[in-house]
Amino acid sequence: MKKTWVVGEHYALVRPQVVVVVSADVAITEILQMWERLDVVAPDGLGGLLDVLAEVTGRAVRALPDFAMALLDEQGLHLAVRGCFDAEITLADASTTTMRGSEVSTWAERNFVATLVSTVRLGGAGTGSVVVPRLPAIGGVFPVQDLRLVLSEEGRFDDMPTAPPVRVQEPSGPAVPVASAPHFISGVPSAGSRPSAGPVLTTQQSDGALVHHDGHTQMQLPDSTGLDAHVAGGSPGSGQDGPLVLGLLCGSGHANPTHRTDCRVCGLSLSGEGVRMPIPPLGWLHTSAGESIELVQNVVAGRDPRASRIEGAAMPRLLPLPHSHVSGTHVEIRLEGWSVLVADLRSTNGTFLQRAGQPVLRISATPQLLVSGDVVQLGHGVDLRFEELP
Amino acid sequence: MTTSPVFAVADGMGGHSGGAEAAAIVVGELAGLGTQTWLRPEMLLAAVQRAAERVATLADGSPGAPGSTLSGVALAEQDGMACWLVFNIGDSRTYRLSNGRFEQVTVDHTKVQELVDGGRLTEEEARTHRARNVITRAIGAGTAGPPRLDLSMMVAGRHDRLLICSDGLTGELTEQFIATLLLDVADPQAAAEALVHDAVAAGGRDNVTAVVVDVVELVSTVLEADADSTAPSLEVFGSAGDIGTLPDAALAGRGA
Repeated sequence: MKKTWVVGEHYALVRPQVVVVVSADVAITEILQMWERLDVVAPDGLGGLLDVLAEVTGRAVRALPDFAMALLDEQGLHLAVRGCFDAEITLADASTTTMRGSEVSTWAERNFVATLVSTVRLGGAGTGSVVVPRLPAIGGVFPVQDLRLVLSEEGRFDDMPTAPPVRVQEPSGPAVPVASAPHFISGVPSAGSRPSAGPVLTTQQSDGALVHHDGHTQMQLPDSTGLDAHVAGGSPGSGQDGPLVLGLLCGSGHANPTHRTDCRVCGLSLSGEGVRMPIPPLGWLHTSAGESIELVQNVVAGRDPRASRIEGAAMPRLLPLPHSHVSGTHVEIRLEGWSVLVADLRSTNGTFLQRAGQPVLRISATPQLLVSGDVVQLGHGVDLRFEELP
Repeated sequence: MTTSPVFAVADGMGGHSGGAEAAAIVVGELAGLGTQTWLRPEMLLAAVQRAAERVATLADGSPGAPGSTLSGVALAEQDGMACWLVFNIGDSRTYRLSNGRFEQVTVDHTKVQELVDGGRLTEEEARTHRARNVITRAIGAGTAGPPRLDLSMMVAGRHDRLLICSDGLTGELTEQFIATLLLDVADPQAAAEALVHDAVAAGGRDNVTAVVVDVVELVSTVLEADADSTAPSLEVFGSAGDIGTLPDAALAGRGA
């Protein structure tokens, strides 16, 4: 995981598999305390990391400072954002998704299969106009505007430079590099610089020239950006085999996420190398009306659900919930890799998550990870219950 | 194109006869999908892809390569539930009248729609904007790469009425007028003819095409479980009115 940063008003704490960005209202002494703590013991997941932050700042978990954090372990890449911070994720297929801390009252969390993630930008709203250099980071505490993580193809910690190592001067900004790096890496590849899988297209009129036709309807050729985006998305017919995911097969051939040690279906112990496989069904959704839907595609639910502007041939499953207080298109269940996520689609009366032993949480437009046993509530007893999730 | 499971309007563009040819190619490929009860999205995408490849061969290098818009619906099925697969590329439109609610279910690929989406133009301003006829996507018309068809999916209602039309109709009649007429005129054929007639009378400068589709009967097979639910009974009545004021007007299904 390569990391680059731009100088700014927040603090970033950078360790090989862990990155934490906090707002500057956290005292530097507390951040250094956190640094020391993480030096001694690796956090146990995002929860452990949040505990450390709560401990050093002396705040209750619900009153934590604004933060953005990323943690990479064998279970994947875990991201959390709160308050003024966002996480912009570019996936390996060049699609992007954003988590906004401002959209949730507590914090937003998401887990990604690390191999499916290309880059992650953690930070506040970009300053944009000022041209400041983006600098490499190996480890330490930095005053940042944002921090970018570039995951290697395998989604693992990878310090081997792909380009010849280049020695650079110490950053001229007020950085406090704690660890002395053997070498910094320049020329970090961005998602956009990858060789495109599709054919190289040329347009003779990329300046947006109007093409005059029958005297009435005219065609404006798309600019090259639009074309590039489309090429990256692949042709409509090419995705029929569906996306692949890294997983483990048990002795009986059941598909499992790589973090499991025993089969989620038959309990046989798992060993060996992960293999790329088509994404298997990810469990079941049961409605309070008694309908059961196997999670093999995204689901869009509502009084009169509509899935709009779908790319490619993969149609979401529409789930009509004929109740007057349910919005037309109310909630989406999204499948990403091994994850099942729920997001509210700007419903009038809201969507709520009931998880055993936890207070009911309102779900925003930012996708929230679901686990087995979760109940998504649309009000007045209209529930969606999730079972047998990976 | 008014043969179940596909109902569509293709509006050709491009000088001389090229536009009409382009629209005819699009309609021909859709007609080639046959008359099975349901259509799968990948079949539709493949047909549009084939159409785009054929339309591209019409271009002779001179400015204004022939092209076509395409908008409409196809009947699709999910676990026995009848759905509308709505598709669009360009500025022809599909509307749905359902439970008294009339709304456009496609999004125009036009310069002004981009301005409206960006909050830089109101819907009302867009109606009279001088660039309202500039489209940003089409089948052919000099576009490179695969056609960028918008797809959406919605559950078919047993009282749905759909209107598919060329921009010539919506350019002349307000949505309020169209909605009122569709609510008032029960017969789909008569409704389509009235819409086209009124649009032409209002001064229709572009070609005007309208297709009205009514759901007559919708039998869900969801509850009839297992074995023998392969042939759901679903009946759709299609109807079309068409007056071409320009030679490249194309209404598919005519005479087919």
